[in-house]
Amino acid sequence: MNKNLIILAQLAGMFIISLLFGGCSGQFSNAFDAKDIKPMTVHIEASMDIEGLPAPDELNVTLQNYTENLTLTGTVGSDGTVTIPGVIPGLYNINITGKTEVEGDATYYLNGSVVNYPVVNEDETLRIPVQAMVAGKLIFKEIYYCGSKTAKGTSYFRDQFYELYNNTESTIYLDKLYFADLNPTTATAKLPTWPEEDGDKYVYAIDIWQFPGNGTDYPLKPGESCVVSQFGANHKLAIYNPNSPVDCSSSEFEFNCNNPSIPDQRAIDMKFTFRNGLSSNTLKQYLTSVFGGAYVIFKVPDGVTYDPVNDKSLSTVDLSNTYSTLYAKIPVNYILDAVEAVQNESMITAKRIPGRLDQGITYVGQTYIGVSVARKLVGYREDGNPIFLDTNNSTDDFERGLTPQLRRYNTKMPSWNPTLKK
Amino acid sequence: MKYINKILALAVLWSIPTIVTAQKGKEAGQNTPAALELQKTGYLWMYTDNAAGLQLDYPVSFTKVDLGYETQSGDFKKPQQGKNVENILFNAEGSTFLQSIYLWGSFKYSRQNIDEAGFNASLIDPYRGMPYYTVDTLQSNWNNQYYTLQMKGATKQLWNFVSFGLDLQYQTASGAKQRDPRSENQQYAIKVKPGVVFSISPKHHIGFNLQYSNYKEQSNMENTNSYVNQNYYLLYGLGKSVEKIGSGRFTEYSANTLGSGLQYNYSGRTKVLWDANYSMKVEDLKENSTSPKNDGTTRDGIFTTNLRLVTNPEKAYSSYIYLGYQDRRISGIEYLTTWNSSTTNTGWVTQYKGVRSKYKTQIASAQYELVKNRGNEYFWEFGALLNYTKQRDKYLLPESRMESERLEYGVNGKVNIALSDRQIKRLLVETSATYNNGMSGKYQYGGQHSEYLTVSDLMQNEFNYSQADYAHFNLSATYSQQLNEEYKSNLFIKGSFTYDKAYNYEYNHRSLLNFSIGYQF
Repeated sequence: MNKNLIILAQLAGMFIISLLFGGCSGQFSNAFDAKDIKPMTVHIEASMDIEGLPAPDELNVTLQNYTENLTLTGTVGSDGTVTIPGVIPGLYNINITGKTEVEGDATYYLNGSVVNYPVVNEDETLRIPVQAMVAGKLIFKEIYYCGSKTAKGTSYFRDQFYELYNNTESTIYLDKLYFADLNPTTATAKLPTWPEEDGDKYVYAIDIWQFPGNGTDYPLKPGESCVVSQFGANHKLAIYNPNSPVDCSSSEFEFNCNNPSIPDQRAIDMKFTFRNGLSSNTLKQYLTSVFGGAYVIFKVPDGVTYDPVNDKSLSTVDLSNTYSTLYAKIPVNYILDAVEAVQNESMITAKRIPGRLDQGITYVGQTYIGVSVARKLVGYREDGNPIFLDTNNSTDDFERGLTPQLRRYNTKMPSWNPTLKK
Repeated sequence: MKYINKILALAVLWSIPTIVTAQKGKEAGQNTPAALELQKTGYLWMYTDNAAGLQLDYPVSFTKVDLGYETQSGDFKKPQQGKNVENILFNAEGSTFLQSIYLWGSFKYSRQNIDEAGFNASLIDPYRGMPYYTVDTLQSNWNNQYYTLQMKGATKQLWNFVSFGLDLQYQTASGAKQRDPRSENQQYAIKVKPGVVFSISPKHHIGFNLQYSNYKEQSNMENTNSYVNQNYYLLYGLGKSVEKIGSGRFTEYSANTLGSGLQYNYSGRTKVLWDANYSMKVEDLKENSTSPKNDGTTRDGIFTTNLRLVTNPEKAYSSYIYLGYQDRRISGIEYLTTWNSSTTNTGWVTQYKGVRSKYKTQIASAQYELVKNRGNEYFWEFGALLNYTKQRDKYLLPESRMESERLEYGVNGKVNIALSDRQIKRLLVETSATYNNGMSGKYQYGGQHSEYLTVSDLMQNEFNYSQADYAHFNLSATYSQQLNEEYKSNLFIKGSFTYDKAYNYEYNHRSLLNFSIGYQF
């Protein structure tokens, strides 16, 4: 009987000791630290960096929280600040937008933004720098990236294309412009770590292609579109995918990789420029993520040499891992247009492109469903040329889930299109 | 130490369907199903969390094993329940005395096939009080297995004053969803409840016990068809969700529970036992196995108090009265995390945590049974029950509410027909009828994306079910007899049919059919 008592007492003692010093104490402490959620007040200060430009009539502030589907707005006061109450604690994309014009010159979009900013402290003041970007330029008009399904249910992704459009009233030359897709290939909350000294001056590309030409070979007149296809073929043919929604055989350009399985088409070949520190194309095919990539068109200023292959200061590795893959740095002020496509609406928290290039995201929500995103039409010029919405915010600027169509809204084909030549 | 070996050996023995004969201590007069049922109905301490008082119930030694099959079907169900459910059940239960220590053990195994269950892609049991999990909108089958091993032990009264006891339970389960995004789940729980009872006098006893349990569940989602990415939702309570696309995610739930209980027992002509218990469980959800990210935590506090009375157990007529109350409050905590990609401290950083939702359930129960005794069995039983359930769930910001009140009342009767005294042949017929009334309720969703199916389908149908009035009927029959007149052991065969008829335009009915065969001795 005494032995029974000793055994049970030992068990009880072990139990009590484990209670006192067990790992559950930390878990309980963490749980009981949490208090009931309460809305907060945020103070925002716009720090203007628009030297030489007139002050805008109005600066609007938007706080956007995707998880809560919450959008709060305010207007910056004359003192450069705005106070927004009733903010649910969360991660917010905060954008400051405005517009200013220089008479006889251009319209400038003003933008300052922070992405995924944690609003967690009551009465916090957030200082956001505001910069200017020239409006009305060469823009992405339609992007088809998600691919389609074959009749057998397999995935087909050769029918990707990117349509550019001259949204201005002046001719734009495509010669020597660049097309790039940025890292990460697919939106992720675990963003890369770039060199601290880079600040916010660059975006980082996985692949860069260049439009060929000597400077005036490929003019894009007002109202004209240029289609760049992964593979400039009629994808509806039986040898490809009759279920594909597009015929890309009238494309102006294609990403030719000299693969016999993907034979060179009539479209003009883009020039491969950069991938992992090399200028020689070892790819058998070039495709961007069917979940949605981050795409940019950029122009190197006259007189400036841009060579991320040989100029090591123009490339870097991702410092968050040990891989040696090199990414090309693209100065933000070279960018003509940027569009960020993601898997779905929830990935607003995983933006790759800085807010001043693209404040928002666009998406189709699935892969291999044969739909595209297309910029919204806002009207027509006197000459009948379409004008497309360009607020530097893909969330607002693009319609989603459309059947892909080359030259939607009857935008014109440039005269140098290869299919127009006999 | 030899006693520890005996204890462990018995624990292993309960895990296999072997015959364990009673060794010492009081044995049952007859081992008919009604006799065993009557004996267990008279136990008071067995239904508390304090094993130390088991010997105050004057238990008998017995062993019972049974193998059963049940099938359930019908459209009157919650959205996450299967349209059809099949179970294979094996149960083994027994008790004995080792010297002066009373030991009771139980082993349960069930194999479950669930057809066409919706809105669950990551939990074996989506109704266990965890609001944070992953769902999809496709109907899917699940295959689940459950193992539960439990043992209670109690010393005799020492120095005529104190007795000690220990309640151990180990439970493990596995589950597999059969459709993309499919999930493989592994779950285990271990519970330890040491207790002590002080006998102030031969009639008055006060008990106290502690409780600790540890729980873990892992869910690993994937797509078998990698060409098709699936839409799924991360749930955060009352319909609030975030839509995702892909193959799902890895989640790990880990919980610890601390609790205690207090008991008072009066053993006179009328036996009374009152107990009160409180436990607090904290459960964390972490997402991603390689870089764990806090996704939710619950604080789950349960308070229960019960009063049991047994009058005149030795007389021709006995009464059994049960009154109970339970109050459960869960606070749901959500996290704001950001990714820190610095080389020195890579990982998810918690920027904020706060209570975003609260769930409150109160249940009051009353039950009365009048028994006509016959030897160590009963001849007939007649009873009535009343249950009241009130639920108040709230998502704090932006506010959403789901509230309901239900009242259940009904009667039951049993008759133990003596077919023959030769081989003690018995036919035990049971029937019950209750009515469930959805008294009141509301569901108001004030959050984002009210068009999501998690709101318009899942939560709305959960609410509709909670409001549905329905009648519940049960009829069962158990035939038992001795296999050999020289031994008291009994073979029994039981069939049971349960039918729920809904009085609601959304639903029709649900039925449950159960067959089992068993042996007790």
